[in-house]
Amino acid sequence: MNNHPPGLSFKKNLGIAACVLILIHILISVLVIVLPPRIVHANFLTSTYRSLMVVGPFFYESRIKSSSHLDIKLYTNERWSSVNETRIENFTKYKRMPWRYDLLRKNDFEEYAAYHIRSLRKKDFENVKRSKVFRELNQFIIGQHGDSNVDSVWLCHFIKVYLPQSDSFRYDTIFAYTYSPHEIGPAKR
Amino acid sequence: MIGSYFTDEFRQPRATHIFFKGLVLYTLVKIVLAWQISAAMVANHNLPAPGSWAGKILLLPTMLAGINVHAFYFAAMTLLVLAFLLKPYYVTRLLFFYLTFNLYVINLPIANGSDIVLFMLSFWSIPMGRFPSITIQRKTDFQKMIFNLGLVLCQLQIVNVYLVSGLDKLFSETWRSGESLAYITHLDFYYNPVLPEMFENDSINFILSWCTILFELLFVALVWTKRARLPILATGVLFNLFIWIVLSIPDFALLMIISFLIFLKDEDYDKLKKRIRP
Repeated sequence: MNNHPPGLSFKKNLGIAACVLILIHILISVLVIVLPPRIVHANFLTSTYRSLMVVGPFFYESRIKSSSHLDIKLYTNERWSSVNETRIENFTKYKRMPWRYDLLRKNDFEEYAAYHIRSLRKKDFENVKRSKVFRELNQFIIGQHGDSNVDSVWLCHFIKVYLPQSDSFRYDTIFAYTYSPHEIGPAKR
Repeated sequence: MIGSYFTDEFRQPRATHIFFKGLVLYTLVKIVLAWQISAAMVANHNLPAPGSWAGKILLLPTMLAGINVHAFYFAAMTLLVLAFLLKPYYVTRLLFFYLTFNLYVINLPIANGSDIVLFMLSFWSIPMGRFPSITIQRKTDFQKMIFNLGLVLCQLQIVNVYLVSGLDKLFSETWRSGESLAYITHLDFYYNPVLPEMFENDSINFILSWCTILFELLFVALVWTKRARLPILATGVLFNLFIWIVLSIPDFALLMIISFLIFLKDEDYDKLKKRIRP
């Protein structure tokens, strides 16, 4: 028989409900950590949990073993510019001026674009040129260089992998394209 | 009974509000610093335009940013200033979450892990509001329960970040051997050689690598204990400062340092006050 007054019993039930919720949360969190990703991502609940409640890891092994590069050259006034590694330039500037956080974000955009174009590389270049991400990158490059007289752009995306045994690097070219920026449609609808 | 932890009183009301203000201030600084690049990116990027009414309501700020990104950021700054100054109202916290979620959507091409952590922490801040008062039969038991539930879930969110990261490193041969630090020194866009010869010795790399793994895994357990809580949080601050400077991930490191405020208690602030003004 319950001897508690109604107010106390409501309070007790609330306490129990909170404990049960926390336990369920911990249980699902542990499950999404220990289960293989194939199983976790096959279910909406566990997949959402893994993406939002149990975030990370951010600095995983493959991310520390290689860097993704995007080299750019612009053809203006009948001559090619030197290879422009804007990401290295941005990072060097950031090291000198650590309040220029925007330079790191600029690098993130180029990495995002290169990553998404990489996923299209089985398509021929005509299709790649029509893709949303390629148009965005093209407009971003032209906008950043502030030069409307660019005749051609050369883009080269490669992965630089460090080899600790020989203290050397391996370079894997992912794509290299030369195109006229004026042929590319506008990025925004 | 353990259930009474959730219903007896609002746990750490002052500390949770300071934590919320920390998140607001962090968002404000991040907007100011990334405004220019975000505007340049939005100018060339198609923001989502949902068809359904629910989608339109959810992404209304994103749609505003698509029309005029500068007007959106001015409105966001106004909201953040209000959220910083006002009492812990549910509505300001809800709007703060709404803003951080939309910031994530707008800046998706330049988003990183810190943006997901930010909107999840702002999500758990909603139940940690206290105004207006929610009473059922003239009692605030239900309000206390959702407040304390939000607090514990927010703490678990941060603990999970370290648990996942610690386990990932523990199961990685590269981290266990200390080789990971040699790799990090060759990351062209992250490594900042403030101490150039720091990672050149294999034994030091091995020790530092295991210190990282141990810190991340011990944090999960020790942050709940009475005696080790403050030392592990202090270690966490140093660990994140190291990430900030050497690995050039300032936004993530700063957010994690701010997130530690949720593990502080009101008494910690009282002690600090006494130390400053005895």
